[in-house]
Amino acid sequence: MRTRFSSNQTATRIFRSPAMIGWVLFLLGLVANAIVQPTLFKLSVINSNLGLAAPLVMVAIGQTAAVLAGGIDLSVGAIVTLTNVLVVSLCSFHHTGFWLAAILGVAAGIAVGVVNGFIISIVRIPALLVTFAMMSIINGVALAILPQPGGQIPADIYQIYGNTVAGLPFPLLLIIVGVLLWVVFRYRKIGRYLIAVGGAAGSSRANGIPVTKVRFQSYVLSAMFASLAGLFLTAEVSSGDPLIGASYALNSLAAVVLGGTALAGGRGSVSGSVGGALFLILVQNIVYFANVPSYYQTLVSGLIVVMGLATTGVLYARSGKWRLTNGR
Amino acid sequence: MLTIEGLRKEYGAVVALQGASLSLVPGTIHALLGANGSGKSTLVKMLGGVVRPTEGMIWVDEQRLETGSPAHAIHQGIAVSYQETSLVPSMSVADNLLLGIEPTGKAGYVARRAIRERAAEILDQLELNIPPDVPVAELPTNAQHLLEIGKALVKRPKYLVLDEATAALRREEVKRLFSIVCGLRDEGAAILFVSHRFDEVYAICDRATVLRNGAVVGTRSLSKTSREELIQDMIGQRISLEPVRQETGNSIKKQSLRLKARSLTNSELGGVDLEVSAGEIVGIGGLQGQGQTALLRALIGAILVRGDLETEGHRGLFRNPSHAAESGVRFISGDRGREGVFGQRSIYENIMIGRIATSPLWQRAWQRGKNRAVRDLVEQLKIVHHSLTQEVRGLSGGNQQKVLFARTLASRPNVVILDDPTKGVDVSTRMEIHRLLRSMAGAGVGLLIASSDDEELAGVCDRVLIMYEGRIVRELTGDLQPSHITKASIEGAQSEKGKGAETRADSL
Ligand SMILES: Nc1ncnc2c1ncn2[C@@H]1O[C@H](COP(=O)(O)OP(=O)(O)OP(=O)(O)O)[C@@H](O)[C@H]1O
Ligand SMILES: [Mg+2]
Repeated sequence: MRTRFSSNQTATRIFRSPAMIGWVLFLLGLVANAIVQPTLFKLSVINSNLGLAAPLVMVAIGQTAAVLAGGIDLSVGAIVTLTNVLVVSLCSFHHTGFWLAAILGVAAGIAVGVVNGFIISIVRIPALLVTFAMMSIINGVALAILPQPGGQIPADIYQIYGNTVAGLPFPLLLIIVGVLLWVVFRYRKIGRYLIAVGGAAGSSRANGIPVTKVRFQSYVLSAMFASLAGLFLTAEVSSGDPLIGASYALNSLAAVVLGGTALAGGRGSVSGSVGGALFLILVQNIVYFANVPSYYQTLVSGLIVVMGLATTGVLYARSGKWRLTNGR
Repeated sequence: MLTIEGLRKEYGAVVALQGASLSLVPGTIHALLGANGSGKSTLVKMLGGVVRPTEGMIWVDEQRLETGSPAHAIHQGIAVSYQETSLVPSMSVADNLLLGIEPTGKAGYVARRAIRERAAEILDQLELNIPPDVPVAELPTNAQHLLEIGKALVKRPKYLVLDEATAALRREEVKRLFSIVCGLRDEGAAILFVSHRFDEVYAICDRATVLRNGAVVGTRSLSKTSREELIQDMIGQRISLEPVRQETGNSIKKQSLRLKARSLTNSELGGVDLEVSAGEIVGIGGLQGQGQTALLRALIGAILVRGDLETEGHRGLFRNPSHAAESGVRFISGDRGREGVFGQRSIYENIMIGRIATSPLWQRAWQRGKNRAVRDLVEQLKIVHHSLTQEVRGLSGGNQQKVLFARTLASRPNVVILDDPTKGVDVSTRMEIHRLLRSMAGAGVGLLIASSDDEELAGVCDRVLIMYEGRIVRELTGDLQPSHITKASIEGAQSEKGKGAETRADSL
């Protein structure tokens, strides 16, 4: 018997894939946003929206790596802050060149990931606790480095950030670079092993997959993307702020879940998370331009996000994975 | 040659294996036998590197195997098909088949086309007609077990270990597997074959090592050993292998109907009528995948179905399994790992949950005196354990199955619906379970059993219904013989096909 395989099934599979939800939500958000904000598709508006989105997209990509492997990284926001304050204070108070400062800032972020990965995968303490503690520690370090908002990066850097390159908005290029960077990992063994380890750690081990190493690397990846996000954010706002990354931990998790990745690990995709992150940015826009009174803005955007999450949940259940289904 | 020397494994105070030795010779098939909990899987897991031995070593071709490292074992040509499978449910069929040994191209990228090609090759060899990119979680259990075997075969192993690989398979699939395995043997591989089914062991194995309570009783050449001798080695005493003959049912029963279903219909069922009386054991047979599982699930409300249902004190279809349980209709799934035991909870809790699952949520759950009842059940079923508070995942597969029975008994059911109830259960326990089923029936419970094993159906049932394409096409009563059931399954299929019933191309 030949193993047959119809294209029809491929189509169903793509449509049923959880990542779809993230993109459908994004498109709905885009339509709603366009209605309340007619200028949405002007280049400058697109540019500033993407500028806001790029850091969140990066953090969400990294968070996806941690969640796929069955973990969670609450320290990403603190890493964003750390990179921001390091780069800015090196540039403005220590006269370091921007690029050297950038490299040091990203390296510091990755170092945090290495420590996270070590404690979680080798010392074996639950990721939730480790990264939560790390979040406070790194926020403390950031405050020590830069107690008050301030400082500046060279003007030529933040001018590029607001510009277009070859007709494309610069932040869009950054997002593309981020996604490509992920692709480098996704289609190597590590990309598969993140999913395998998150899906069934015991089975992965039995198949000779180095489970400890994979877990370790997932936190390094997450930290790497978070510190790149910190760098992008620095270029966008052009100054330092010790509280700048506070919202990223939970927002990146929301993006990951909106994108159809299972919080239990082993199932999901970065593409969905990117859709989810863009949706979250649009929600803020919509609420702002729909003239929602400022007192109610967080309430309304929260409600929209909950509705999005509920859709994800319902579609997930509809795809039938968790019913009693072994008999077909 | 692979040699095991004095392998020992302790789990805390429990000695799972006490100094086992055996050797696998290229070009032979070696059987590993033993009752449930005798340490077979423990030995297998140490071969695969999943479990690190407390003592002892393994030599592969005069080289010492680094123990506790699955990667190293695979590298040395040892491939294992595990009893509880080692698949990742969320990953696709193809990705699972080559998990851990993905071919990579230039620059370290995984060669996805090569994966698909090799996966298709192995699926063809196993005659498994499933698309390579569905997630494994969506496959039926027997397909999952075939994949687990396929995963070992892709590695083109020098040493192939099959731990109860056939337990979840249908007869045709076992045949196919055997021709593959014999092919491997002829090419010079050594195979370790763990099974509770003697006919299989005698069909393909050359020698057999018997384990009892974690110790090797001896290794015998099968051509010179009888079944009775092997069983005596396994359990240390003689037992009769006579099937549990029914107390020629129909006399006591027929007084009350326990379960009555009318025209159950959905995408997999084409109008099934069914009756189970008190004290009756009804079997469901037929070729593989003819809607047997769907029927069981439809009855307890686990899948959507139209039709009508009547049980004692309840009319209408059940909304869900919990609703069915409230009316005393209990289900024992064939998928122990996912739908059976709570691995990380104790034996006590696993059994008690049967009784308290349907009581109000705020009712006090752990009352005294129930201890006694649980202990009695554990003793009655001879569950090998060292404490009632022990985690169930630490039990051997067969003993986990017995825990499921104990749970069902604790719930005092009216109707019990079972899917492959003796999967992975050793001969003597299997007889015990059959006896138990009879005594449950004797106490007035109605039982409905689906089994892939016609011998089992013939041995324990009062009636057997043969299914084909979601309908019941034959009913066998009276003096049941395994061969009659097999014949009826095949004939049922042929005559239905002859009628021009439309054949569904693909059940997936
Ligand atoms: N993780 C564990 N923790 C504690 N005890 C264990 C563990 N794994 C196995 N055991 C014990 O070791 C013994 C041997 O178990 P094993 O699974 O090897 O039996 P088996 O021969 O494969 O039985 P079966 O035929 O039922 O599969 C059992 O008594 C079991 O309770
Ligand atoms: Mg076993």
